[in-house]
Amino acid sequence: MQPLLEVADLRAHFFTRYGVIKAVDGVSFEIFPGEIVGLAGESGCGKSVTTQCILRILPVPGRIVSGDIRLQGESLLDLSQEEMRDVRGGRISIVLQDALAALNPVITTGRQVADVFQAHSPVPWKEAWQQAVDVMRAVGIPKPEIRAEHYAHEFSGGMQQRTVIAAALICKPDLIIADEPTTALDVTIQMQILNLLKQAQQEMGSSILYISHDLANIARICERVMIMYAGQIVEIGSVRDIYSSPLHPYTRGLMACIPPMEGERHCYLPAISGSPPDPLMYPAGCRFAPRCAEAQERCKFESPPFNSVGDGRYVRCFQD
Amino acid sequence: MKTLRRLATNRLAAAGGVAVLLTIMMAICAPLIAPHDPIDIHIPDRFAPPFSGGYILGTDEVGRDVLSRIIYGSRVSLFVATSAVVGAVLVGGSIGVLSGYFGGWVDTILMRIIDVLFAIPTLMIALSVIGLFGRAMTAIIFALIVGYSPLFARVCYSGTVAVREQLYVEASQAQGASPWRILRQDVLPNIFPLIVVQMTTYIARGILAEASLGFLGLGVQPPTPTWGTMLTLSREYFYHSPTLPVWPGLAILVSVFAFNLFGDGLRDLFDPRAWQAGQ
Repeated sequence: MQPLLEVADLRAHFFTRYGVIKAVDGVSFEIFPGEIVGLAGESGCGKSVTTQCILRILPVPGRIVSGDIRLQGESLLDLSQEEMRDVRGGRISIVLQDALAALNPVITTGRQVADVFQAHSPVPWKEAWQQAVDVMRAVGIPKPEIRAEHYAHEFSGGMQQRTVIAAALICKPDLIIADEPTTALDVTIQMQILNLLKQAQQEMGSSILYISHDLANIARICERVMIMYAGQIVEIGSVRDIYSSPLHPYTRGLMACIPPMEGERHCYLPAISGSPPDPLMYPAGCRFAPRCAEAQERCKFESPPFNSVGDGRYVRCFQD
Repeated sequence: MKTLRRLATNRLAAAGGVAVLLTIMMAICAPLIAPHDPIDIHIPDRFAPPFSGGYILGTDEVGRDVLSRIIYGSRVSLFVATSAVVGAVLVGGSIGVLSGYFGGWVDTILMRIIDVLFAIPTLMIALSVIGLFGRAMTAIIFALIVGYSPLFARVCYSGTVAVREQLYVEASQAQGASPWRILRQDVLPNIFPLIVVQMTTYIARGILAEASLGFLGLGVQPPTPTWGTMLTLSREYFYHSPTLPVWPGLAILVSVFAFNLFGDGLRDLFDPRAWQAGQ
């Protein structure tokens, strides 16, 4: 099967006056049609920069220095800005984390959703508005014909996020990038939003790239998961495999940090010692080596390759 | 209708709005409501006190009816002030918004020029422009456009820069909006309140500036009545007829105040977050 999205050895660097920040440094992955893939990693590991690369909206002084991003076989990096605008919101859409900030405060929510539709298909405004009301109803906004006339600040947090999702769904994109869509919400609403995304994926057949640092949410909706550390993907595999038998020491550390449901109640949660490396000066060898309990001599000087270990699993480590 | 009702709940702004409307009506309907011809000289009746001989506000040094001159004067004052401000918004505002959104070195240079203009007092700029082009009304308007553009450029520039950094602009970009769509849907609606408030304040200032130029003898030339020239001329006869400068002064004061109040109200009107529940 042809992958929907292929990212091949993507490198995006920020050329600041302090030096070059290698925010994304050799990221490769594939997303197949109709699947939900999780991308997990701690803050600053390059998750959001990866999505900005895919949509080609990297802020200055960031630049994609090498690699390729292909959507249905077609390289996005070769497209002109005008062609890219059709892709953004049309074939790939994004749901941002902070829904209130992602909505224009002085324009009604319905108009913002309808605007996305009109930006991609030249229909009369009335029709775009009707589409917006329909999709707002589909994402579970009650009385959408009235609510569409309201402003973002008149919505609850969950309704704001639903509006942002409505804007992301209105053009029926092939790929929805959900960049931590539930972080700002309480757990019951988180659950509803996750179900909503899953439902959208099932009804429209879209793929979802679900970015989060919440491993529990990823396990709930994703089939495959990618673990990112210091600008690189360190492990890819199915949720079942990675959660039951993580291979990379970093992934193992992350899994150990999930509080156990049984056993001793008053125990300390394990933590990965140390902190992520300074993106201005990554270690010469494996980027996780300084924090890795299992690091060998060679890990300090040699960068481990990203190896397939069968079953669609990849791991960036010298261990087998 | 909703908008009007919202404005009505802010009493000061509503009062300002009504006063602004009345001033505009007065300017438009001047020939209908003015009791006399504003430039008709009537030497025998000169310096008539208020409420005498059919002159409600009295007459000036050559016997012209003061009330009629105030009414007609509003035409010049309002026309000069509003066209200067609208012109300045178009010129300065566009420079500011485009520089703020697109950045780049051309815009840096444009904004530095604006900064230089900003350092020179408006009246100085106006004086030099009038010196170059003469005292026609168009020259005065042009002078004020030059003088006020830097301010609107600055306001729009800083507003645009602030809006550009907002997440909803990034969201629009990620949804495939073109730069023009972003300017129209995200930038302009969000900086509009800033512009409107500045506009009303500067219409008020424009009225004052026109009056100041008139006072310096550089405004619209006699016998056309303007509030500024009326004030200047009446100064000379102040000891003889002390009420004479009061009327144009009062007209300037009331209209400036009205525009200021109205502008404050408009700012709240254009910000949905400032609306009270149930409106």
